[in-house]
Amino acid sequence: MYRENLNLPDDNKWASFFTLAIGIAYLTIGVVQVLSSLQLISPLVGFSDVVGGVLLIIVAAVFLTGVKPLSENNQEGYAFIAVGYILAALLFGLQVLVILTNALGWFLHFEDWLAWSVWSDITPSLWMFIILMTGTGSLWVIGNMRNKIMGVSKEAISK
Amino acid sequence: MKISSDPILEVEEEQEESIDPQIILANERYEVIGRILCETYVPGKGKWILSDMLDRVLLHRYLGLPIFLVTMWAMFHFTFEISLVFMEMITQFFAWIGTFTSQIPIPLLASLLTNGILGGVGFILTFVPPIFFLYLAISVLEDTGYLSRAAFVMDRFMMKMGLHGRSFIPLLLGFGCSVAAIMATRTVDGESNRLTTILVSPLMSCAGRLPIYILIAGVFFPTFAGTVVFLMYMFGIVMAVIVAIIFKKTILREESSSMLMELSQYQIPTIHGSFRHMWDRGLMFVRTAGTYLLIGSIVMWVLSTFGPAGAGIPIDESFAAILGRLFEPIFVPLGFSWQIVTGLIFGFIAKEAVIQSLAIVYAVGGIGLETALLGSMTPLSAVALMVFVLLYIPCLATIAAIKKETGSWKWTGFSVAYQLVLAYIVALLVIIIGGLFFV
Repeated sequence: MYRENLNLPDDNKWASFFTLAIGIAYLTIGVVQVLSSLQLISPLVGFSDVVGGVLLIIVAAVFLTGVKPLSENNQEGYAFIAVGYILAALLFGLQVLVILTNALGWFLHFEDWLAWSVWSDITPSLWMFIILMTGTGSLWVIGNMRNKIMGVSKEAISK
Repeated sequence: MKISSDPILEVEEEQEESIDPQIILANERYEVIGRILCETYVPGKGKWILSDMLDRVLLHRYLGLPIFLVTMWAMFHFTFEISLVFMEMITQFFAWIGTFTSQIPIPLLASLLTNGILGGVGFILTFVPPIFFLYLAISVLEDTGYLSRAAFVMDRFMMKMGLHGRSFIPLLLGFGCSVAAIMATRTVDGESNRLTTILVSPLMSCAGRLPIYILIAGVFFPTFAGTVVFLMYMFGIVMAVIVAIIFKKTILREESSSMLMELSQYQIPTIHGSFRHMWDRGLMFVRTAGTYLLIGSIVMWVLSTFGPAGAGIPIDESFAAILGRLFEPIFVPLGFSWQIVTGLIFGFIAKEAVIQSLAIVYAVGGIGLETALLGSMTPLSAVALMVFVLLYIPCLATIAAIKKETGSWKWTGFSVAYQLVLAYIVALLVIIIGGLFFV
């Protein structure tokens, strides 16, 4: 139903695999953040917010719920990927805004921002989204190259 | 008058007369719209299906609620964290003006301008950025079409408390202003459902409470201030649900109807539209600050500066201290000082007046607000204060709205009384239960 109108790919195998990988990555980082912030494991820099960890687990849950329909070649799975990306982007965008406003406070030499460092605002929601987008971009480039090569070889055969 | 000889027709006419004319009008309107659409409209499949596709997840049976929570957290995190630097700019600006007003050679005038007006209205105006950002976030959510989906997501929980999802829209609007929430209950079907929604709407954290949360969370829990603010808003929802369940099972019993609601497709909000909504709503806060809160700050300054012995007396001998001490014994178990009690009394006019009054009382007493708060209460009492402010007596404008919408002094009085009792009991529970874990 969606494929014709939204131009979704025919083969969901790679999408399913990719979604599973993203889901597991977000879940792992989310769990580590929760454990680290509750000091159940040794504290890690940027992993201090327990709610931030729970949010990553929710993003992971959205991605992982999409794996089953995708593996069954059901296009509904793409809806989970889309919403997962939206949520991940929301958390990323929010953290970027936090960094920008904190940088403004630091630049204006306000008292509460004198000790601020950009590293204190580098949270998993930020770098996980960068990794996610890098992965997505790489797959898109690889997919495009594959299509070009396959397209060329098919054209050569037909000639 | 029309006379009909057909008895069946007469019965039908009588039935039609008994139906609300608004419903007949709405039905007729939809029929006309339907006829026009059939002739002219060609559905745009791609756009609709994308919206439909998103709904599969956003209205998902299990994921819908967690996604809603992520969205709410993002909204409050945005409101709190982003506004901090802008709040500091406004603080610095008023501090700069204060350096001039404090130099005025007439001591009483200097005190009125510096401690009364700048310390009161100037202080409350530092909360303009978070309030504008909150309204911006609500506008964006409304404009995307997600806010109506939130009502659907909450429908199951609302059904459990005897209401339906439509009641959640007024409750969500209560995040902005309780008056708007109470007015919006007109869309709720059923007298009992509507009354329950009116009674629980003031339990949702309005923008007027936001400055109190930001101040208290920032002073006592600086590392997790954004999360504390978010939790206070969530606690408001939880309390509204619990109170609604109690009302529906005791004094306001009525069968719940199923929910039928139109969901428009998702839209990308326009910058102009969202900022326009933010500006219109935020301006209300600025107007309140310029009128009621300005008068309130002058009254508070007079009460703090003067006492039975005249002007220029120590703050402990002022009328404000006498007023606060009158009710202080009731609040001793909660760990509230007379200054906080005085602030809570003034909070009856508008919730923003709580911290405005505190700022003036401490300024006249010559102590900084943050230092004074840290010195006068424990973090547990600070949480109890936030809970008390969340739940206690609605502001004057909200009481007027409740009277207007219920048309009853009895229900208005009940709303005031039950919230006061509820606030006290829950704040006391915070102290007792919290004391077991954190002391």
